[in-house]
Amino acid sequence: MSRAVASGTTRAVASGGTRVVARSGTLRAGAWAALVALALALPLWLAPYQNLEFATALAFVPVVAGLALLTGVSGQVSLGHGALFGVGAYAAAILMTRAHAPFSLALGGAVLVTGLVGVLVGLPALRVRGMQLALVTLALAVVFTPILLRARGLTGGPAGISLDPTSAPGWSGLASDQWAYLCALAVALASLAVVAALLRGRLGLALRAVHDNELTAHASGVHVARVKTVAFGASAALAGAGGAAYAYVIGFVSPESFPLLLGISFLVAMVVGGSASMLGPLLGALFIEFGPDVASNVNAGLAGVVYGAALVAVLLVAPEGATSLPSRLRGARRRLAVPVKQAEERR
Amino acid sequence: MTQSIRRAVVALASLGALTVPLAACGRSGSSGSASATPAASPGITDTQVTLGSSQILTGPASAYAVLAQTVDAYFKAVNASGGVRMADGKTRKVKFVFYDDAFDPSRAVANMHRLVQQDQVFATFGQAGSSSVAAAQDFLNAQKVPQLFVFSGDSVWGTGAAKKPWTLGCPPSYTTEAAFYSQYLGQVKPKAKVAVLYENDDLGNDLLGGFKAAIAGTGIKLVAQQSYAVTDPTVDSQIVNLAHSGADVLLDVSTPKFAAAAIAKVRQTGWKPIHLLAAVSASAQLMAAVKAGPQDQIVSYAYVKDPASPAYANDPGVQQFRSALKQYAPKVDPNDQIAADAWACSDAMKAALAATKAPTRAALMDAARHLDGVQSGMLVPGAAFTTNGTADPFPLESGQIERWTGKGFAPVGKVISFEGRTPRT
Amino acid sequence: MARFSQQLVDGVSAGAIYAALALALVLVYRTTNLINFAQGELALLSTYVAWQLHAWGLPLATCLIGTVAVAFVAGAGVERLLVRRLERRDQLAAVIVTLGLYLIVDGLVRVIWGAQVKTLPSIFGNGLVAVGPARVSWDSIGVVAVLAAVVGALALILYRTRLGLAMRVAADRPDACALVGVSPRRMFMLGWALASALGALAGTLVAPQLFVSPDMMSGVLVYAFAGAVLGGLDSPLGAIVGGIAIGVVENLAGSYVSWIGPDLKVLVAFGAILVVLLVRPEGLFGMRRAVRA
Repeated sequence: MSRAVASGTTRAVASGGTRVVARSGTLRAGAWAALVALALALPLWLAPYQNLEFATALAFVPVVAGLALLTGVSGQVSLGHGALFGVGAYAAAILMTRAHAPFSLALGGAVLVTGLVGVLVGLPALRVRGMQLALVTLALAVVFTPILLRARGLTGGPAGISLDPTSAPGWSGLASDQWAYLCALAVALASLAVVAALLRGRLGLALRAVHDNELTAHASGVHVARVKTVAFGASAALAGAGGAAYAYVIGFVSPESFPLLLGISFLVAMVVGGSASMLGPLLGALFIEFGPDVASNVNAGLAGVVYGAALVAVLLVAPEGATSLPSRLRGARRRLAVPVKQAEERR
Repeated sequence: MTQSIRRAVVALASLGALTVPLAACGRSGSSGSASATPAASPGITDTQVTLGSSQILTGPASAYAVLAQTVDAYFKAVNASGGVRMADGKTRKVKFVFYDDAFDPSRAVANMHRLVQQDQVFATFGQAGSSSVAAAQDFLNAQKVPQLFVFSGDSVWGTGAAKKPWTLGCPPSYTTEAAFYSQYLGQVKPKAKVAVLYENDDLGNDLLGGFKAAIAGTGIKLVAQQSYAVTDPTVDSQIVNLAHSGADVLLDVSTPKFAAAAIAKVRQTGWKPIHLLAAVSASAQLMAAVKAGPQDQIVSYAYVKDPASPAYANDPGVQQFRSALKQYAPKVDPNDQIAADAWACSDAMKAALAATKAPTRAALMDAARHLDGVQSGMLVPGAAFTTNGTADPFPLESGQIERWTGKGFAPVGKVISFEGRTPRT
Repeated sequence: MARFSQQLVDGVSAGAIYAALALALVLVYRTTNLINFAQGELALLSTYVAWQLHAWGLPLATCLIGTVAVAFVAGAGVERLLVRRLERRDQLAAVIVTLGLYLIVDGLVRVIWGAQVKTLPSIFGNGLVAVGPARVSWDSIGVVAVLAAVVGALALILYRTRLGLAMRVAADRPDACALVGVSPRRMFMLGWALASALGALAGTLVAPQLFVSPDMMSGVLVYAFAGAVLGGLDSPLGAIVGGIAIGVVENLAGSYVSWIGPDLKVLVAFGAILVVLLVRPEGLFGMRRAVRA
């Protein structure tokens, strides 16, 4: 998986043969500002049910960003982010219904609880080299639904938890679906900012070092297990934030809402969107939200197959995901433009 | 540092420049509140009425894809013979729109939003999956859109009718089914000692709760209960525990894959209880798959005719069902029990439409809540749909106890009716 | 006492099911250092193929042998066409592609054969035999016997033949392969082919007990992984011991530990993975790997 690029400086970062060249900081900031402006304006034009769908996609963004942080940069795979998403959703739902907490507090609670679960679950696996985290998170994903059903006093059991419908505050002049969308957007943008900041900082440096060569990183003084656990904890906390947004937007959580398949979908989102830039999680989230409907139109029964095929195709053709396509195309064109004689000389 | 300040300024400036004009934009159309004129609700014209649904077409529960295909075939057949004659005098064709939610409640919610706002459906019908129904329930009730004849036996659709009047179930609730088993045991084994195997979801919990309520005060005793998770590979250890509980009746509330395993394991242990099998698993197809015989003492409850049963080979209702499927949904297996259930519920929907006196959602809901012995070609003879406001929020409370003979399910006793008497837990 | 011994015996039967799949998982890991999350679904696909051949009238033994042979070839194909292209770039991508396979096979099986429960008869018949106060089916005994034989054969191949040596060299020291004239690519392909064949064997052996349905293997997968981790991801013997141990503990815990209960048995698998990783990450029979710079 490629590494996320630190923005703000013009630097060429080599990654698996693809050269991703960062543009100058001002242009990128402007492009992001335009995108954010568009995202803010969207709910004003769309019908309520479309706002709901986009808001759901936005609730997925923090999870996919967390996965990109984990996998793209530290090379670990988690199959349990669907369950962690569910932990955040349930934590937020319980706080909003039992404790009558406002969304902001419920969000904070969800982030804390899910981050803690992430650290506890990740710690044993991350002390060891290899793919053990994938196995632990697989087990977490499978054990989550039965635990929800068992702890019915807290979770409401099979019936799930129904939240009161959201209502926009009077001063905003917005409809409830628009307000819910904007809350989800805020969570999504904040998550992307957090991930970007983490990657630019010491954690990001340490993670890249660990991904490249654990032994060398260890020799350089990086506390490998701690770094990996912090990364997993952070990605879990992000999944919890997404879950809280999901609970707020959909207004209902049930044990059936968070199966293993959801965790696999998040991985699909991460791979398809790519971890080359902060745009990746957004693209991936949009893919898994709107993809199944598009696939249903092609052939209702084969939606799952289309999903899996998309994953395989992306991995084969553009492993760094959709966001790396522009640079790959540019690279290809440059390669084609090289005169034949020069190419032969190089060989 | 100046560089980042400059960047921030540019970012804010572009943000401001773009959002100021955009903020002034409104949105055409309201935010989904009822824009119906007093004369008619959306989704109904003089010639057509639109019904919508969110269905399980893909994913782990995709066995229920048959449901949508059957309903689609049903209404195609209805339209071919002219449509439904409604009580306001007009005959209308039915347009059935449905989307896939793959048993994901959040997609069910999104689908219902889309059906109400974009497709402007008159009512929703036959939604599958308890958690999906629960997820969409608040929205549909707030919007006053009928959520009719949902394909789930959870008793909460009936017991919650006062708070959520726009939601109505169709198949007999699990608590009704439990009452049937309790009554049957009262007749054949009044001092029965019952062991229960149940799935740890709404099916298992609801039926178990209903059973406990139904046997209260009788000589029947619950001596053991073992649940299982849908993710479990086998139910062997549960069956062994139940076999050693001294019970002489096994109440088996499981879905087909686990019911098959339970039947096989009960044989292995040498335990010979009366095997009360939840209706959801009691199909001739499953019995054939496990090579069940009369010695397995499998007893269940039926409200719909089993199309695979030789007893109904020449039944006119079943023949009509088969020929319509063959014509409009040839890929559906006409022996599929779910298809038969869907057909019966579609009859209920058609009857509700036929009794609707005005082209409004409220009138449809009123008609659906006052069905008076509506018959269906696919219901077992003697069973009928009856509702009466909140006094009787369960459309189907009658049915037939049946036992597996090795060749088919044979009725035991007469059709029983719990009309108005479903135990509330 | 009768109940306990029956639970024990059933635990071994269930454990044998987990062990069968775990063996395939371990074989892929031992020979290619990859985790194949689609192993269960591929075994499921093989089982459906066997069922279909049987439904078309072929005798059972022919169906089983044919299915295993087809699976062998298919496994080689998957490695050659899919996994290899990704493995060159990134081990992680190769593992993620197995998830894509999981989705594809799951969808295909549902579309082709539908969701109805089907049966595949057991090649060992339906009989029961008494083991003390407990009853075991010949089918369960047969599964354990076949597994033991397979593990023995695998151990023989891996540790006593030149081919096995070549496979181990390809897995442990791919860089050294060229020095000894071993083609790692061919060994990886062989590893996947063998694992796929094993998975097919596992699926067809356990199908009589689990019944053939699209969800047949989904419950088994996490227990199989737990067994493999417990036994050691690179030890075939460990897969068997680990799988059976998990089966026994899961059965007994579900019956006798009240806070686990029959519906939270999967907590045993989860707990086993966590505990093994904390206490002895290489598993009971796995090798401790030292990494030199």
